[in-house]
Amino acid sequence: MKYRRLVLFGATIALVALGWVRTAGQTGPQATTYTPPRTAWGDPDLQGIWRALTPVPLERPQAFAGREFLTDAEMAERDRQAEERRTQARAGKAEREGDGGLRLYNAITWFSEDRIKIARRTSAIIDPPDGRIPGWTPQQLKLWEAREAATRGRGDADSWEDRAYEERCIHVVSAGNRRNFGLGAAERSQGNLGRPPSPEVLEDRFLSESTSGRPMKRIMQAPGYVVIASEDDNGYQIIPLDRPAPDPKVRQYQGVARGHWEGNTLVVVTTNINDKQNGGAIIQVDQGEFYPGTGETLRVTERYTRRDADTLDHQTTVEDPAVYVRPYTFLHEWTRDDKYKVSAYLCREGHDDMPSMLAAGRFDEVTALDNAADAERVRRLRLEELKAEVERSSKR
Amino acid sequence: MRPQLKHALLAFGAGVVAAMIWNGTGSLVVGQSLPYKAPRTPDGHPDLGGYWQALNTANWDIEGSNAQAGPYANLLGAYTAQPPGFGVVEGGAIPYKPEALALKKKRFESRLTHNPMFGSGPSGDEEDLSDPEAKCFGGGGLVRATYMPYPSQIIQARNKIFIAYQFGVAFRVIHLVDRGGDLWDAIDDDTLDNDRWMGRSAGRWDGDTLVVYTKGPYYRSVTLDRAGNFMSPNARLIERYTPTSPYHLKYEATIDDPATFSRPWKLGMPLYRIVDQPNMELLEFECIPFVEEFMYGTLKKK
Repeated sequence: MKYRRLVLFGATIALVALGWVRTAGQTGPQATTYTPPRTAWGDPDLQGIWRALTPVPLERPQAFAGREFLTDAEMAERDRQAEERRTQARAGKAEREGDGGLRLYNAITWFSEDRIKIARRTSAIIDPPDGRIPGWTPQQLKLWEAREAATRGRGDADSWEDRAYEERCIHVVSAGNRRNFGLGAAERSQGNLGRPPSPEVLEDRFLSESTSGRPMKRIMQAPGYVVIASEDDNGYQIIPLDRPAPDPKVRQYQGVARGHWEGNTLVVVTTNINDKQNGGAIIQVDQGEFYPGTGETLRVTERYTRRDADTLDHQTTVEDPAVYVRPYTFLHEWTRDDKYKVSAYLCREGHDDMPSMLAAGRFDEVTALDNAADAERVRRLRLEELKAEVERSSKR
Repeated sequence: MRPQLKHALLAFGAGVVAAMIWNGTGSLVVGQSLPYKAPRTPDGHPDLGGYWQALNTANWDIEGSNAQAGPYANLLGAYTAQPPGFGVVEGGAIPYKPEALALKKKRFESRLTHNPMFGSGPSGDEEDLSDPEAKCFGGGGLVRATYMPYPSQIIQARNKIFIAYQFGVAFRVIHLVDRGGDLWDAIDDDTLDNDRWMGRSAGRWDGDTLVVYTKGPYYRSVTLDRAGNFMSPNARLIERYTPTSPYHLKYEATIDDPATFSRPWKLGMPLYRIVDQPNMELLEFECIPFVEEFMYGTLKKK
């Protein structure tokens, strides 16, 4: 009897879990009728070079609350504005405004003839339906406050531990994708330091012309494997197919990826993630954009589906019951660009940035403290929101 | 079974055994008389896929050396001691030009004296001579990544050979080019990835052998071991990967670098397939967190 109850209990759990996965799946991209080409051994063929840059903000701006997509008229207007700015930039006439209202270099610096496709979505997050990063658990809030306390009084370059993993050339799970794992602080306070964001900054973010780096991915396949190599962090992910994850005591900065095919969709689940994802006790200086948890209970599920010959839907679900009150899912469109010439970005091998950063910190300790205080102010705005949410839900 | 056939088989078996005893090398004889043919990938090329590792002391000194004490032996005892080993250089010695030989010695002496502000000094273009392995640079560098004492993995995709190296989470992509002659022009066709650390590589099949042409310019000189052996940023490299049994891959590299050597020279070794772990995979050897104090400690706020 006991045994039967256990089985029943197990089956119920499984059904609930399946049901949840279903629901999560339904919020995904529209079903596609496209039939992708096959590899010689019969897997859907995703190989080639993909531009994983989508001009969509992670979270939905308040101006678009309740709306998942732009209207045709809005699309046309964005297109016109983008073209106008391109014309100006090409002529070297435009200046760009950065975070905090700083005037950046003349736009010609980052000008490229590549046209970025205007996206129709108002946010990359497709679940929860409001397009916003879910709230935090009370324990995550406590952890974060302890880290704020440990960081207070430090400059922005007291040691390498104050600098982002990206600058330290360490590949973590959210690397190359970091704005999508965020605390959301930078995006929510765009315009920054408490000032309301200027339309130009918003527009810039929306069109993603401000996204630096070249998030180019090369996908390679062999029987039993998919490999995704990234140009911008010179990293790679080897995804063995149809293999169980290793013992939970195996823990890595990039976790362990496992893949399988569901129809024409490659599903990649990353587990075995180490507990150093947020950099430890000290908050890294621009962590306003990073995944904020330790990583110990983080699980990332990615779904790759070719929508047509030149478009790959990349949908990611971030689950961490210790950090977020619920999972969230974001969707990016990757665009094929097989003519692109990959230039490996040498980080650790050609690394002069870290010593320069630390040396600058030692040369001018006052500015280093100032910079750290600025970053803290950006985080604080978001933190206050998160705190209020936790308080509201605890009263309920 | 008919008695005649039985006897014939027995005789054949005895003959094989006799041949093996005669030559004293067992299966190698069979390998020599019938050259090994590698299994094929679904698109018909030799399949070199799997996990491989060199078992030698080339990472300490490709020219070979007797055992010696390692750095900081007073603190670390035999942990850092250098094991003895035969060299992997064909002919035993590397044909350095005199000034390059002097630089090799300087590299050995400077291998652990990392200066974080190199390139920012008065001369601005001083080369950092410390060993990239000590700094966790990807795979230790081109060529050397193959014989660092850690596993690597070959994955063969369509027109690409992807090799992942465990040390420092490194990789390289070899672009297969379907044409004869040498492949130096193919590299310059400007269709290949530009990698200033692992170089630009074009490859093709020569029977069961994967032949890979690689050239720079590399970001800096390429260090070949802990002993200070190196090649210049403009060295040209031809590598050959030949499967010789299901468990062995013959690796050969010919280095042509007139700035450093008086003639081209060659190194070679077997790579062994890792078979003891049925669920083998390349675990991550992310060594950056272990080298930051070594590299930037002097710039930390005190």
